[in-house]
Amino acid sequence: MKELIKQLTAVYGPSGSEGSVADLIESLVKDHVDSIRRDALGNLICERKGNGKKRLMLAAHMDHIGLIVTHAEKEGFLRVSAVGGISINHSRARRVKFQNGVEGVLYEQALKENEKSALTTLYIDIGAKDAGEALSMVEIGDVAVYAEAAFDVGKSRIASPAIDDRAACALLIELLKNLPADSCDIIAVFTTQEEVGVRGATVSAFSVAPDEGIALDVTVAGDIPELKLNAVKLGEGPAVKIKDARSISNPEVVRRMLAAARAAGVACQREVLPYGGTDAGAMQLSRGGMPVGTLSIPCRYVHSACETIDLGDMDGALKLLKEYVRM
Amino acid sequence: MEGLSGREEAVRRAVMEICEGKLGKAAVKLDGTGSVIAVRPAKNPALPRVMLAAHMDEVGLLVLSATEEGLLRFTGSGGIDPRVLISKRVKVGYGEDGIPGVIGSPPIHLQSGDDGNTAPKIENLSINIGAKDKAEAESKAPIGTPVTFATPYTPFGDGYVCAKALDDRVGVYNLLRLLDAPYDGELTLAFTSQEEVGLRGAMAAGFIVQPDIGIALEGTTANDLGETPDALKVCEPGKGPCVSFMDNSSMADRGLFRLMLEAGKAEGIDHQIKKFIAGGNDAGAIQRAGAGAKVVVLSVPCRNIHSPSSVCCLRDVDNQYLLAQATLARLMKG
Amino acid sequence: MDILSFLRESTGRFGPVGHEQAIAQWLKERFAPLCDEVFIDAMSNVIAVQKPTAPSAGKPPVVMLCAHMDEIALMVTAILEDGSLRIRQVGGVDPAILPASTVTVHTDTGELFGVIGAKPPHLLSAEDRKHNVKFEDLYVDLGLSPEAAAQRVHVGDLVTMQGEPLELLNGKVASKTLDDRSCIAAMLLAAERLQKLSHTAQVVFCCSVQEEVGGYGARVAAYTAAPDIGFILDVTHAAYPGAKPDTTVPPDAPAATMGPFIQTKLMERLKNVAKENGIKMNVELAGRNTYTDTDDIQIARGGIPCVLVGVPLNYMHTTVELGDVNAVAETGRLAAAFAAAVEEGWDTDLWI
Repeated sequence: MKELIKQLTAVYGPSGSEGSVADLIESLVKDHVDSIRRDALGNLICERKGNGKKRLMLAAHMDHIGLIVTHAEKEGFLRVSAVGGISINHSRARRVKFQNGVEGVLYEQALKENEKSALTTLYIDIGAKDAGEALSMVEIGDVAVYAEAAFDVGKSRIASPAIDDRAACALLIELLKNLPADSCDIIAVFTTQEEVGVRGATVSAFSVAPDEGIALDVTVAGDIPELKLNAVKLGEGPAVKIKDARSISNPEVVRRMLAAARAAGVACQREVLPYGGTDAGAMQLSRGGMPVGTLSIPCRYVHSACETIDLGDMDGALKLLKEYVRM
Repeated sequence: MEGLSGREEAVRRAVMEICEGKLGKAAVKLDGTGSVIAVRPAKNPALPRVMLAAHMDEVGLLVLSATEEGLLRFTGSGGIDPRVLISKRVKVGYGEDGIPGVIGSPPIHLQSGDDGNTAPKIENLSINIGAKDKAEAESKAPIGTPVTFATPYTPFGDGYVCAKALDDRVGVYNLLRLLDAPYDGELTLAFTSQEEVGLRGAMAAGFIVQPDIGIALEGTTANDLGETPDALKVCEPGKGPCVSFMDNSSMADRGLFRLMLEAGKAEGIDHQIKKFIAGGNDAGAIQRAGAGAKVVVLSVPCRNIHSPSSVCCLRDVDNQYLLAQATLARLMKG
Repeated sequence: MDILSFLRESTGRFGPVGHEQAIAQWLKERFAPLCDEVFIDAMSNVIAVQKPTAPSAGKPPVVMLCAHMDEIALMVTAILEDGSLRIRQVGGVDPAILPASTVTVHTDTGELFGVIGAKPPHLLSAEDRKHNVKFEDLYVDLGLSPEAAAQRVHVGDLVTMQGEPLELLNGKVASKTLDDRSCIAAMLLAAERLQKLSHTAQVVFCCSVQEEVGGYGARVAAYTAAPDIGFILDVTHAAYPGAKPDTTVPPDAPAATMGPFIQTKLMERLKNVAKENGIKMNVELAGRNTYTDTDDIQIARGGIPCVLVGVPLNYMHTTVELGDVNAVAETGRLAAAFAAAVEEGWDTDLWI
């Protein structure tokens, strides 16, 4: 699992430019599914027939957040805007990279008295001496991402800017490779543009028209100093989401997930997040609606360059899913 | 003409007449929010199904009630900054039944202390139509009466024009011209309702059509004068229509974005790239309709958008039409 | 149907946002004797259908009445070391209503009585008294040891507020969840009346879910029912001293909303129906969102022209929401009269 996560997080893929991630995932799953296709928004839709009892859509998003170039200053600095939920606090003195390999420094300009930090006070320095040189290196509309490579943290944890949500993509890939024989019909959708408004899931749910939808995503762990957010902790198992700002998990789905955890002998947590959302929020509104839920991987430092998860929680999540698809 | 969100009837009538005239009644239908959808069937069904969209509605005001003194309280319809309303003339009601009114402000002579520094709130402003009391005001302008800016269409400068509602009558104008644009695939021209209050007509029309490709023809905000830092100008009138790679409602399909830029370059049509991420438009709704569509937005830069005195360059309007046409031609090449 | 009895039986019934299964089943049983078919959909919306009772030349128009059955509530977000619970809102709950109130905690193993704490006045500083409470500062006292609490309660357990209907003078009633069960009552009244009226329309009654977090139930129910016209029933704000102008309506009659999300000609038709039936109806304006199921039904599928009628309430989203029983009855009468008046072509003849 760790190697798969490292492989997936190394690929460039901010919202709107997920093609390379889709290519890699396709190569990894093609021998384990009955059909693969891509739709107008670049979603990777993989179908695997099961016992026909229900059609279950499992969604993990391929995109992660980035900074889009809007303007090149005379002096060669690039002005940016956000693709997804960029935190300005996490955006000072960061190494960033573009799809074509150009790297740079993301920094904040000196603020005037009483001036507040905003996306408009950030800039990227790619070492160009003027606008002409800058635009010969990158184009307006190109997207930069935090450039850290994944690294091990302690014995069982791993950090990277792309854990959200490549870790869940890894989970879904492993599930497809080890799907129980008596699983229901699975439509594994590696979605696009989740970070800018669950757009990929919106259109893919419409064309797939499943009976039920489960999103696989990371969630914010509240177990760091002074954070009074929620009761989710790293290392205590995957989290069954009860509610976030975009969806309330169907109570039957929640019951089944908890039962699946018990059957698999896996510790799990229950999660309530006062903000945020997942692809489940999009799936539940599709056509005539459907029961939805989210299985979350607890994650510290979400939307930073060092999103951190516990591999034991990942293993637990996989075991839980393998039970769930048989229910 | 006047056409606030949900009250586009005058624009709708005019648009339908032209569409039916060019394509025949059978080709023109309405969706459940009042959008006009004109469809040209495909000569070559292998080509992508394209939907072009421009919205019929403009921003304005709605009457809420009358005060004891006969003034009209109002709220905004679509995004309005109250500061552009001070000292302006408005038209209360539509067409020949419309009556003139003014939005005033306490005279500067009588302002004290901090008055001058605090921005007005819309609930503290009122329209004066000269009514003598509440009863007269209510009978002339009952709750819900639409109010538009009373700006005459005024050409000025070197090919510029000052008017209300350039957002998005420029798009509607060009969409009507594109009714006979050369394209052999299925082409839908959607004159949508209620874009200004949440892209609503485009959601309904998008669901009905579910195209492969969506192109929104818009008016967009230009912030280029008055020593604005380059990075915040967004775009500049006179330099051609704006192609957007992203706004708050959609990320353009990269391939379609590049195709449009190439079409502009190849045909020598002035164009620019929108350089700030702001606002949303019908493309966002079309992209997420049904099983999804590839989208891009082509906009005419408008200064002072959503105010009584919008300004745009007529050459940009013409080039929006030419670039849309060139894009369709390029899509035919496959 | 007696409105007060219905309110007594329904407002206390479990149906928090996202957990409407129980009340859905109960309401299905209430609509079944009045309708030709009733079913519960994938999101737990109740959808009941009365077929036309008068013929039409072509396809009968479909009118969907919609009122939401979910209620605002609270959810456990943490079990503290001292055995008390932290909570957060599900739907728009103002934390200011919570200190010193009583609640029911719904656990896997049964219901628990709880009290939401309030610092006694003796210990409050002048500063404390100035600020409104926040969720971070509130806690539920179960009267149990920390071990017992941790064993019985889980993160995500639902907490409902308590507030049985209380009859006041002049036909007024105060209760929790009049939003929107008072409109469900109006819808049932309409269903009863329509059984005896001639109508060319097929009338669909939808008890929707999850309105309080975003109209999600109505959106998918409209997709399934595919109506030609929508008639939404939800509560609105009744006048109170010091209210800002144009934000409230008189409390004693149904109030209809106009604005961009409401179809203009359909609204005129509604006004005529009210006049012809001697039903007093006030009017208010929403410049944009109505914050009701209307916002989601209007843009379902290819768009659905809608009208919105409300029962005025004081103290909305508290456990003492105050409404007028007669306004509820008149709302039901208006809904039935409108549905009965809908004719073929009403949905298409709206735009020119």
